[in-house]
Amino acid sequence: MNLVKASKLKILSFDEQIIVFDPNTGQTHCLDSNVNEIFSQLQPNQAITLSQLQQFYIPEDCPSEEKSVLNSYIQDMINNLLRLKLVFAG
Amino acid sequence: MSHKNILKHLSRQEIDHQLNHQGLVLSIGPFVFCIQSNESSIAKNVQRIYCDFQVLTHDDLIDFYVTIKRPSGMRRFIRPQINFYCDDHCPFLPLPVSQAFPLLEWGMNWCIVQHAHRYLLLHSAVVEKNGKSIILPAESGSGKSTLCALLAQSGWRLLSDEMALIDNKDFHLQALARPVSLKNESIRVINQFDKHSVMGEVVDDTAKGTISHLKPTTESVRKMKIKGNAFAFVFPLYQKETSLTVEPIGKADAFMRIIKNSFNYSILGETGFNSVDYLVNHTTAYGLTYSDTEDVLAYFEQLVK
Amino acid sequence: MLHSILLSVLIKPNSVSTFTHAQWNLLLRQASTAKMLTRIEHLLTEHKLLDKVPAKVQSHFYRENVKISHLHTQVKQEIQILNQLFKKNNINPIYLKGTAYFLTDLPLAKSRTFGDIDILLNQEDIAKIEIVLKCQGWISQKSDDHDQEYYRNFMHEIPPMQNMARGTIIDIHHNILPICNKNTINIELLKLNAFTAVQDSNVKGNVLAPEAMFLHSAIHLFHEGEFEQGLRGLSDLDILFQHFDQKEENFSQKLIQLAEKINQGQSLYFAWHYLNKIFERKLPKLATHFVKDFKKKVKLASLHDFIFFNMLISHHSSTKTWSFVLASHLAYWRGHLLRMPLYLLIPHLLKKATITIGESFSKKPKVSKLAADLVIPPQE
Repeated sequence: MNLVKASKLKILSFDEQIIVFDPNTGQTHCLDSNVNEIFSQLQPNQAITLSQLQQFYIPEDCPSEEKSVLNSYIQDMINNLLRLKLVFAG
Repeated sequence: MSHKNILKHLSRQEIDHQLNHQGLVLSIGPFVFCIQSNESSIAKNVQRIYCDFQVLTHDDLIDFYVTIKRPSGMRRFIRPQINFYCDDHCPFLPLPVSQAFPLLEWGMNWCIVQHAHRYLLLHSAVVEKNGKSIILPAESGSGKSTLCALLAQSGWRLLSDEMALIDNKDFHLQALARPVSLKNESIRVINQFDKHSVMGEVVDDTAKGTISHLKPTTESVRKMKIKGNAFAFVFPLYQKETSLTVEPIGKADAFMRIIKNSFNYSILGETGFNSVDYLVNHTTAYGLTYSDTEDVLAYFEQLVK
Repeated sequence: MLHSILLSVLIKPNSVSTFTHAQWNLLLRQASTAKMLTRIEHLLTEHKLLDKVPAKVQSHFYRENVKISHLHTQVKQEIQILNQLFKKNNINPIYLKGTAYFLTDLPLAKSRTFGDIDILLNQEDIAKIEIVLKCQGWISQKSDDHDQEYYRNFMHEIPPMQNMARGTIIDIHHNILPICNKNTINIELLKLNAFTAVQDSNVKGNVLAPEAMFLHSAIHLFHEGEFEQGLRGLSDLDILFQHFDQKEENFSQKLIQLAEKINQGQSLYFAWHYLNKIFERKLPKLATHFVKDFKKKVKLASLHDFIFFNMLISHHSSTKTWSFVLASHLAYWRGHLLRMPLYLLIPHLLKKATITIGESFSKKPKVSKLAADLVIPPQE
């Protein structure tokens, strides 16, 4: 799965949450602040794969059990962002 | 510019004449309304409730032409009804004639909500003391209007009962000082709280129950052109027989509650986002649960000290 | 005829430089009712007259601009969603009217609101797409059987469909005039040279070629029965013509050729004739000749003039006269007759009338929508 971020997003960061305004849809979303880290790796015009993204956040030496939990956590986050049209799969 | 004239200096006859003919032109906050109606209840209530407002002429610029009139045809004799028009447009279903004045008030709200996109419009009351404006969003069960009326009758300046107008350019609050719309039990509460409060006629069986309008204080109307600075959001919740509690609300949470409370946030797009961004970063937001009048008034006093 | 200040500004924008407040008030009311506020703003900007506009009037221009950019955000969204649906089902739609002007980025689009997304499809694709849309949360707006039957048997479109979640309305056509009309248009000729307009990289769609786009707008306006936005319709034609005449080679000639091929010379005649007579626009030579020649062929030319001189000025209580009322009745009947032969029209109108009467008797006293409007902010 190749992932790109929606363009021109405006993000406000607060303690545990972020507020994202998407001028493309006109929608405003309140999301977990961890999403910010995902956003920082994604570009609107250059796609990266889901596994690249997962590799970035999960250290090599991570125990396999923990690794699978983190993998599915990132997967869930991406699914949610896809649903909100903040991220697109190419 | 036209000569300054306050409605209370006009005789009832003069008011009737203007309402019946070309229309009575009133300056209300940043807007100018031209009101036309043959209904005596409109004349009576407008004279009583808007007595401190400035009267303009047809040589001034006018934003909204509003008319309250009976539809033509047989209906006017059996169970007579009344319509609201904004210029030629009739946005609502007709109401019984007894509700003419509430219909005018609702219709004027409608005009502002539909058109005033210079402002971020929040469904909130706004009151001010010591140069600090408090925004009271109207979530259901909040008792916002009662609270707003209590504060207004206790020396607070009333900026608005139904709508907060935040200028999208400088983020100041624009006052309207329109009447406070009181419902059911709160009419009696306010009458008891302040024997001198002036109210319009009491109208039963409206879509919102029994309604009456509280006249804004002369001071609030006089200061209408002075803009307010947003100091805090207080989300009130009236709960019988509880002691007063106050909880701070996080900024992200406040952000989402403010936009949920807005009439035009989604239409404004990025402009609206920027205004709410400014508001949450320059105010503090609280959730307030209350029941006792004295306690709640004391709370607001210390909030703006 | 009472004075339409809106029309006089459209003809002579300079007149605003001496406007009194009372005149601004009247212009504001007429332009607002005609949905032409932004158009006036653009016109005054073009003529460098914006500094003559009082701040209060400018704030009314501003509020309309806010609404238009919100509309454009919504339409972009909707086009993306619809394009995906159509692509999946191998259907190639052509967007019409407001959506097409927006996709093509025409100057007109910046000052024009619209309510529906109009789409032209092949007739054989319609049944399929209707089911697809219904599965995606779109519902048909006309629920009573007579209306459904009327649309399906006689019209050039299916009843409008509305998305339950987003509220957007789409209007699906397979022709641009009713199929029961004796003068049915060979739609393939109109679709010739349709092209893909690119609004931005994510938002694109097929639209009619310039001459077909202009003719469609003219056919639409001069087959209408109701003219609340008649003046805006003529102003649309005005801006479209000025734009294409400048950008396209031999535009007038292309218009005449296409109009003759699809047997719509009269719509083109009306468009040019009234642009010339009402807006006082100077026409290109070719157009002037065409109008002069065609006039001889028009039946009841002076009756048409009476109708359209009344209907194509502003519709506002301040300009209402007896001739306006008479003309609007004539226009209503004319519009219906043009769309449907008399032997179908009379039963249809009778049925419509009985349904409406029936409804008004069975109507229970409704709670005014007012309370809900003002208590609940219009937000999801």
